[in-house]
Amino acid sequence: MSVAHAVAHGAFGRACLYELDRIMVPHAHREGHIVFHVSGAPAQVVIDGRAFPLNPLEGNAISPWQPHYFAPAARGVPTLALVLYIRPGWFVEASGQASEILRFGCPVLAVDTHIRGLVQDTVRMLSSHCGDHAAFEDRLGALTQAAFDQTWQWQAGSGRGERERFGFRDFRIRRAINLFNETLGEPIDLGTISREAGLSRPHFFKLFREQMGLPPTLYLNALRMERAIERLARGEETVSEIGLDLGFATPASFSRFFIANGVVPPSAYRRSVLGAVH
Amino acid sequence: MTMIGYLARTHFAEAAIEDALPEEAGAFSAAMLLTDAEPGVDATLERVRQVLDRVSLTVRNMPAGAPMRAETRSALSCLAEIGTSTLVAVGGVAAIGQARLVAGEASRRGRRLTVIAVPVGVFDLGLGRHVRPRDGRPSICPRPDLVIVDPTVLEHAPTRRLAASAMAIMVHAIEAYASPSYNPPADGLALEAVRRMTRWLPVVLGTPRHREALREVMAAAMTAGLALEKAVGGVDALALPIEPELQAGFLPGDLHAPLLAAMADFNAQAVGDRYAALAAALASGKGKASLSVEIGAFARGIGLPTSLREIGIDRDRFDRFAEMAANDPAALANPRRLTPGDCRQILEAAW
Repeated sequence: MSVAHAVAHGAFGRACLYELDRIMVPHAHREGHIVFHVSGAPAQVVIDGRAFPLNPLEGNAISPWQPHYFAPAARGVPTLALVLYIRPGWFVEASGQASEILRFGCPVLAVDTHIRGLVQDTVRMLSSHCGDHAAFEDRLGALTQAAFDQTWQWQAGSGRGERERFGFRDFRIRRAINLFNETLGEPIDLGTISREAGLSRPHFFKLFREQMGLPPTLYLNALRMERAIERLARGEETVSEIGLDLGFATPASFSRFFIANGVVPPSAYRRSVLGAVH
Repeated sequence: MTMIGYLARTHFAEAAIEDALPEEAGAFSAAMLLTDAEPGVDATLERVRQVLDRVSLTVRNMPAGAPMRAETRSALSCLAEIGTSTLVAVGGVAAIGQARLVAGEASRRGRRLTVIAVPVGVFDLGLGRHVRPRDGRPSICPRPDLVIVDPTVLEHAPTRRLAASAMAIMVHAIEAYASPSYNPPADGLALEAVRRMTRWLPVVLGTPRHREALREVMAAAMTAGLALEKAVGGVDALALPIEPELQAGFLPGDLHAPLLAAMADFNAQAVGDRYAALAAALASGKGKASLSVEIGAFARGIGLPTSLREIGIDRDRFDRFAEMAANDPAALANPRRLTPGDCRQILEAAW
């Protein structure tokens, strides 16, 4: 059973200390996502269908909306990981520069002495619930910047291509995304959404994947997770109320969805959110 | 999405200290004045005191070298005692960097300081994105609210020092241009800084009181400073651990040409045609050699060392320098990933 040891929410996004021991389902986030091994067994993170190592010397950098999932060395073998979900808008302000909307140059990070020091500081502050908000953000900013810069460095044999650039989104995809946001919580039929966007269902799936880099189902799951996490952290509603409001028929189905996409049960996530660094 | 967030309000002219500073200083009656040991600072300080004769100035002297994060708290206490939120920094990296660190710390505490910089010497003039303290990692600090760039401050600068510091800022501009982050305005500024410095630095060194050349060298430094919106790279990371061990008579800027030449060969595959554009700028469009050859020729032409051997660096320390450089935050902005082994190889090539 995976465990959330500490979770900090803030303007930066989320910083989590997770003990992970089970495979997740493919999912994606709006945020830039960085994963560092802290202790325990080496594991893997599968990004866009390719497995990348997660160990003391290698972390993972996942760009916004890039499908991925965690895979442990073996079921039940835990890995303690520092998992960051960095809001691109915060990174722009914190670093003064954020090229490519926090889109990373490559998915593997070499954890050198400098980065390791920043990871250890962040974990210490997160796990001991100490440090003022500004100092924690400052450390996260430095860590994100270091990780971002490193992924854009050329290395022999990396096979890194030219920077990928997405163009303007098709108006029909923009319309579908608006519909997702407006109707989240209602039973969503992707056939209806595609018709309302002016596309056939197959063409909608194809165009959505081309333009967003992930299928609409994963996008929809990410929106549900965002809403769920935000409301769980706010602590004003019960877990059942949140699940039902997001369109889940039962608390158990909400819990299964949350564990598969976000590591731990929703109630455990709520308990792990730290007040000190809100 | 690339965030491009500069410029600073800047007066650039001969006698800008006399012409612009009094008017800009009209709003405050007291200020803390930070200064340092930059050559020529005394003459500039006297000029600043004369034009700010109605302002009560509390002077703090900074030691030579990079600013200190540890100084920021006492500087903030001093500002509170004086009852002012204005900092005037007259000098080089130590004074102006210190003022920016203090302003950054004040901003973290929710307090807004006004920083006026009067640069003496050739460096980034306080316009780069980061300040690198001696006792900590580089941090993003507010740029000065006002920069008074007066090229006449260079009239008494020793030519040897001018050559070394101009080479250092030019190499920073080269590294900014080659660094992988996306910032077209900074790229344009970096290339222009290299062109301008290459054209005018030899003139200043040959004719130290040449007014037009002094102005253009100062303009090149200002342009390079603005280009440092983009990060510097591996040369900075390699030079920093060596600087404290330089023998008497050598300056930090002496390291930059040999290190850049070796670094350029190492980075070539990652940088692509950007080095060719820089080599053409260095050769004023006449040469067709690689950047490493052109930078060596330029350094030789202005009397600077072209190898670490000439500077007397202890080769036995290379492993230590390499380890420190590979783990320096500046190494992350290098176009190509740097390992300690790579750094060692570059140091050997620069030897």
